[in-house]
Amino acid sequence: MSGSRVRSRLIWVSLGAALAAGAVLLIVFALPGQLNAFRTPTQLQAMDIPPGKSLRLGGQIVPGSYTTADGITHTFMLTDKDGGTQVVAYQGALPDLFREGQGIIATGVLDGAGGFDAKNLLTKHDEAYVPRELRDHADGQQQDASGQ
Amino acid sequence: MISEWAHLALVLALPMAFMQAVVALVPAAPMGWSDSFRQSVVRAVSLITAGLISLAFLGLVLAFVTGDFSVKTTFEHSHTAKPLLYKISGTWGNHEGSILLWVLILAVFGGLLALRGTDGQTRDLRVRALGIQALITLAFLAFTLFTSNPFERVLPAPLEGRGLNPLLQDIGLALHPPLLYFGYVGFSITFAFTVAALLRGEADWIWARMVRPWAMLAWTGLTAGIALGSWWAYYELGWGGFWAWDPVENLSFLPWLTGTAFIHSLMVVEKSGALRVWTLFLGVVTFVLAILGTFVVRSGLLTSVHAFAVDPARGVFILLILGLSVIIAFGLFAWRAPQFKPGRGFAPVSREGALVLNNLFLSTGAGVVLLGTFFPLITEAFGQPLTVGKPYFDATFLPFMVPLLLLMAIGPFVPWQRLRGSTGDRVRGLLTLLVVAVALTMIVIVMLLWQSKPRLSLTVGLAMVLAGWLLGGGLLTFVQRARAVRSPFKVSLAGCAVSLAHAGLGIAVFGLIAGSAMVQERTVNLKPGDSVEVGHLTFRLDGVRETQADPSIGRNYISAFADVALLTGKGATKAILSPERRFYPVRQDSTTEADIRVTWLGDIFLAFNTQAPDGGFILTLSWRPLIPWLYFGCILMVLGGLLGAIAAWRRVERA
Repeated sequence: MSGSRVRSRLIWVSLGAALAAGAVLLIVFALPGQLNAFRTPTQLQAMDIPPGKSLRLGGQIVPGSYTTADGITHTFMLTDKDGGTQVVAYQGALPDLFREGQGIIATGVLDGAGGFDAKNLLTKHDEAYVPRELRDHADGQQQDASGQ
Repeated sequence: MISEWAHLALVLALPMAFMQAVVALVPAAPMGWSDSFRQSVVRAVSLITAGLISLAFLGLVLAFVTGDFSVKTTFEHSHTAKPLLYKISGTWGNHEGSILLWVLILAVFGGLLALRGTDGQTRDLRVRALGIQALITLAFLAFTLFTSNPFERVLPAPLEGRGLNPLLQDIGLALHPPLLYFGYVGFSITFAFTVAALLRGEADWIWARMVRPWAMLAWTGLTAGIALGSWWAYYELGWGGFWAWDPVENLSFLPWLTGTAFIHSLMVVEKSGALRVWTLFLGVVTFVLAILGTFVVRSGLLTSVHAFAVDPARGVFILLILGLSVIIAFGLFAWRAPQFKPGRGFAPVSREGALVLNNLFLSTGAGVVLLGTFFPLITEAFGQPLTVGKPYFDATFLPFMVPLLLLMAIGPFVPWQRLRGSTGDRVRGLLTLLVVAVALTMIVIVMLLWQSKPRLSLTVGLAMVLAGWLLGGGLLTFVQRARAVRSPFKVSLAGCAVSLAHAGLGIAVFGLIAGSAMVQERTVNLKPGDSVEVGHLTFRLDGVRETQADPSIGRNYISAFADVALLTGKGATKAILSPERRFYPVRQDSTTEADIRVTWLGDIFLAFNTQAPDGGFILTLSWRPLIPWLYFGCILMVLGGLLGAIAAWRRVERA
């Protein structure tokens, strides 16, 4: 009895270890393509990021920069407190709380022609909420009033 | 005035909880008290604590309902021109109120545990558990009073409040947080029992039997809370749909995964005494993850679509509570765990073995989700934050869920301890299950093909067979249990519970697959009279109309409706859908209210986004097959959980 118990415990422990190892392998293989670094427009200008690499661009929408022709394709400019700017294009329905002067985080890729193609826009959800990364880089709150 | 009394009640609860903890945890002998007297004192005090906190909560609700804007929470988050339901739910639609709700549920759970007194060996366990529960209540009460006091005053009292965030004026807010907290906090009781077991150095089948109803109840609440949250995020635009692997979503999912493992490993402890140490570990981890969820959501540590404004001081305080619980519980664990005797052995292929596998897959899954969720913080420590998104979670989490779901359909048929019966029977059983799975999948696919133009692929088909396998497993479990007692009406509650919960997950998985891989959607610019096709559906924009705000019926917003006709193949109007845009003058905010037409096979989901410069209207039109199945499946799981809780409760009563 005790021999078989030791053996069965061994089976479970090694199975657990195998699963953990499998998890590590999956993570190691899945991670490199999936990492999204956070960048501000100033950082983006200073760096040489290849087009097509996914990243998160955070900044404030420059008042007056938002344009759309058909209501589906949108372009606007993001800036940060260091003065860098980046043109962003986005297709689809805009989030409800999208406003000029507001801080947002756009996830997407550089298009190779100087623009940024956003797949997803994260805006504030509550008038007082600012994503943590934006708190350090863009004074979203103070300039909010100027955008309205 | 009411608010002052409520505040007083909340303050008084603090010494009561302290007293409860001291009396319950300090040995009775030095005070010269008998065990039964001590139990009576602890029970009385915990009922008083629960009563005081309930009064405080009721006071805050009244402040919201009557519009007492001298209370800062009310002033900042309420408004007279708001429907009654949202005045009430607004009570917990803000940080202070939601933490008070958390404390309320904590105290109510403590009170429930105190309701029934016992003697013999369960008495010591219950009293100690009440002591631990009192410590948790004490910590969160202190948190409420010192960092998030909902009864802070504004003087002089303003005449009008600032109004509730329009996104939160929703039935989702009325239901989702209370249920989620019910789940989170429910695991405080199982944590209390776990720590009590560690203190006593004993966790036998009686312990497992006593913990199970609470664990089942907490699991049911958490399941319902997550499902409702997912439903809310599904119909609220901009929240990423029913599941976006957002940090806040993941954080509620983590205790669900370990809690699910916990309710299953408890069965093994009750049956054979094996897996004791592991089960105690899960009991600790689940509640720690629940506090972690609260901490991260309340501290803004991770960037999320569901995050709200934060105050760093609060984060530090919850981190302190979290740290203390981790240190105390795991310290106790490290000290006591080696002393537990192993239980009865079992063969690798047995019910116990299946449940161990369930636990292994669930905890590995929880591990990769935990890592992905906290990846930004881990990488930030080494330089800059890197986030991972849906592709990471799909690639690392799903590989553990596929075998789990495969095994889940078979597990309930495997006998305890070791295999019995012939190989032929087993092969026949597996073949039956496979046939049922394929048949169910075919029915679903044929229905979809008949009603719509679905986007099918081999992967989708295979994934659906997995869902059918799971649903078939749930159904066959019921058939097997019914055969054993020769009547479908005599199946035990526990048998119904497992069938319902497993079959429910199968149905939900159908919805998950279709909702992730088969959605047909278009965002278009339409002028009145324009038509557009989405999948098998044809729509025509008939026009746009506006309605004004009307505070007398609680409508504090201006609406624009887009009337969209759903056309039949011949061009006749089958139905009119009216997605809406709302403008809230008090807050200068707009929201998009989707119009969703629920059918047996899927949702027709229309959203009215905005008006384009060229005068056209931007509409998002989509066909989302089988989404109602996702929520129907969740309802079945919740029912299964409830039945399971009742069944477990009855076993305790009988013991």
